[in-house]
Amino acid sequence: MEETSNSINRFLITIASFARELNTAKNTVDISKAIEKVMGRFFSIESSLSAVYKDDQWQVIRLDENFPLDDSEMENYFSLALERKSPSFFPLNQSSYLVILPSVKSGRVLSTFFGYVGENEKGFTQEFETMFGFFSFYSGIVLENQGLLNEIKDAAKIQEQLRFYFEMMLNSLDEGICVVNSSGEFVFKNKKYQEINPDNPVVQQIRTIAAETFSQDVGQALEMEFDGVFFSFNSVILTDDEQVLIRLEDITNTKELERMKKIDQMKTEFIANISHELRTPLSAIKAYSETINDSVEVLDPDTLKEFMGTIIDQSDHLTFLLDQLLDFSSMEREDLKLEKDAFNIVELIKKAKESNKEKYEQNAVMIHLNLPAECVTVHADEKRIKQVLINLISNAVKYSDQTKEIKEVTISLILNEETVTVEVEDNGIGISESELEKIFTKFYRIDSSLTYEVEGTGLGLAICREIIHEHGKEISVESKIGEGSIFRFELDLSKE
Amino acid sequence: MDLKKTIQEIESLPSPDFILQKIVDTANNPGASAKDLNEVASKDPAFVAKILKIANSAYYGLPRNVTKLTEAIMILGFKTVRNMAMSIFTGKEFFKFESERLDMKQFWKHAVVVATAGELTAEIIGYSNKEELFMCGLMHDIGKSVQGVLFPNLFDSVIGLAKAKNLSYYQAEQLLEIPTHEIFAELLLEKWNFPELVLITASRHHRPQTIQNSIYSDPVNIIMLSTFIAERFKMGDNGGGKPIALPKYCWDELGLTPVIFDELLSTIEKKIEKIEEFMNI
Repeated sequence: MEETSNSINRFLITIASFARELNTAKNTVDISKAIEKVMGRFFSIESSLSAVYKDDQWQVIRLDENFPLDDSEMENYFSLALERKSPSFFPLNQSSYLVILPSVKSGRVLSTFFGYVGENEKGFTQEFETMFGFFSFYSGIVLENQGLLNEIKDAAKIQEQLRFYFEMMLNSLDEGICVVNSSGEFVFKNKKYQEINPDNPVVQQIRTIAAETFSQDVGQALEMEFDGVFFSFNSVILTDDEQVLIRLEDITNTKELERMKKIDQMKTEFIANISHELRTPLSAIKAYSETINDSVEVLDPDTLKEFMGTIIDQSDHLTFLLDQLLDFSSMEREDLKLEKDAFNIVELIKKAKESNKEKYEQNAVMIHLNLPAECVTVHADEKRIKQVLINLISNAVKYSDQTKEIKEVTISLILNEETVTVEVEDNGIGISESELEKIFTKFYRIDSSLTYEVEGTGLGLAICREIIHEHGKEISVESKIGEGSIFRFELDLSKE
Repeated sequence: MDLKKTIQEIESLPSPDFILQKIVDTANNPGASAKDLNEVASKDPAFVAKILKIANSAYYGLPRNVTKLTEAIMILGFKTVRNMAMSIFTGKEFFKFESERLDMKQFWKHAVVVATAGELTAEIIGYSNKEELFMCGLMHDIGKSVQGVLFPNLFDSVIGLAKAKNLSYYQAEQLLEIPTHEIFAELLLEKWNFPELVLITASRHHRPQTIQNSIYSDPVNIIMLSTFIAERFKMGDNGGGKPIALPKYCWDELGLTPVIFDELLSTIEKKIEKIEEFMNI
């Protein structure tokens, strides 16, 4: 009885050792080494060999160089392992034998340990049969689990490669791509997206679009400008309404191209327009000159004087148009030179009003001046500022509202600490909000069609803006359709 | 039928002799060595010769002839050698009686098939003590042999009823209200002082519910499954008219799936082709 309990204890201790050895086993060789180590405590294993059985083939791994049997001699013992699926002690000669210990799982031999054993001093007892039977069983489970683990690892590796591949594709795109979940968290950002500064208002816009996509349950598409950069946003719902993919593209270049095309078209219109503008005074000059030439003898001095007056007027207008064109071309070449000096702006405004006298009288527009009585000296290019004033007054008159009973323009001068603000206010037809931004663009005319209802080159305000800009200031406009407009610019007061 | 009388009659049946008893004991004794066993067995060279003959048969497929009992023990193990010894003993003493209804060769085949299937099932479903299942399978119907040897008329009438009414042997026994072969097996194996595992599987394999959730539920389920396979696929004859049904919990507890069952079946059929030497014991 005592021997039995000793035997059970030995059995349990050996199993514990074996289990401990197998804890760190990663492959067949590790398992074979564990078997060799634990079995070696009972038998003197001189050399050993491990063989993996896979796809009906044995793959031999010699754990040392001394194993006495070559691969062809092993054939019989391989068959025995497959047939028996249990440990065997196969006598080779009087003093030595071969330990065959297959690792078996669910009736399948996964691998087999072969140990070459010299004389066993303790003798072969039934205890070993049970013990090694358990080794065979337990190592089979470990080996199969190891195989399953490797399969999972391989699958994970493939998945990782696949993920890397797709990420690489997404990162190679010129568009920013991100995925936002329903809690507003970013699940994925491609490389382009990651380059965006998190403080950039674009990021806030992305969140807004994600939220809208979720709430409306439909993909969104829009274009927006941030600091002169145009972006297009496109959102798509992913995976069961839980995530939204947003595609962000910098379309500034596309926008620029569109703008260039527009300018091109405007230039074409401009040429047609300017030809018309130049032709009108020229035709008048020609017609009056011919009349005078043909009938100078019969014309009375008053009529002659009137005709000559018209020719002079039209010549002046032609000069004005050509001056505008010259200004424009120097503006284009960016060599608009200013000749700054100190002068009285109050006087200049009065002169500018006088220059437009004929025009406002013709249109029955009243011009009010809201100026300080004293002299206000500014430091600017007098000639150019006069040009701006004439232009603004001329526009105010030109676009007066014919339906209104009282048509008026008020020119005010407001003194600030270091500057003076000039305002030209009218109660004309006004400018719609969408037009407001464009009126300072070169060639732009509100009635951009070639109707010639209102004369002009479409360069006036562009030149004005450029002149004020060269003075280091901005020209601005406030307007409401049907109510009128206020154009406003500042000038530096002279420090002298 | 008097149970007391039966017990007395059992006394008259052949018992394992000293050598066989020693072999059986050795298989359960961790300290027993191959040398010890060889010394005992050498006293009956004829018996040793029979063991070696089976050991060298196609059933075990050894790469070379085994000429010594010690070699057979080292190569095949104590338990397998014990199984061979028990097969020789029971095949001769318990499967060669006179019967008008049952072909003894087929009856013996049934025992060997269930033994083989038991061992292979254990192997495939991962029950590590597989050699014991051979022994359990071999002995599972020993009770019928006891009935056949002691009460040949009774034995034949049970078979007659089972075959005529398309019942299993066990159902026929119950219909006739006689002590079942489970009871006879229990009496015999108790007398022989055999391991509890063999006794339980022989005496409970028709009443598996009585040992569910015990350490014996797996072996009994395996023997039920093996019997089911042997009957269904007509490998041998156990005297029944209708194959037993396999309870669902037996299938579930063994963790069977159609794939495993299919693999099991083809493995068993392949091995059964090699049972020639067992048949000629």
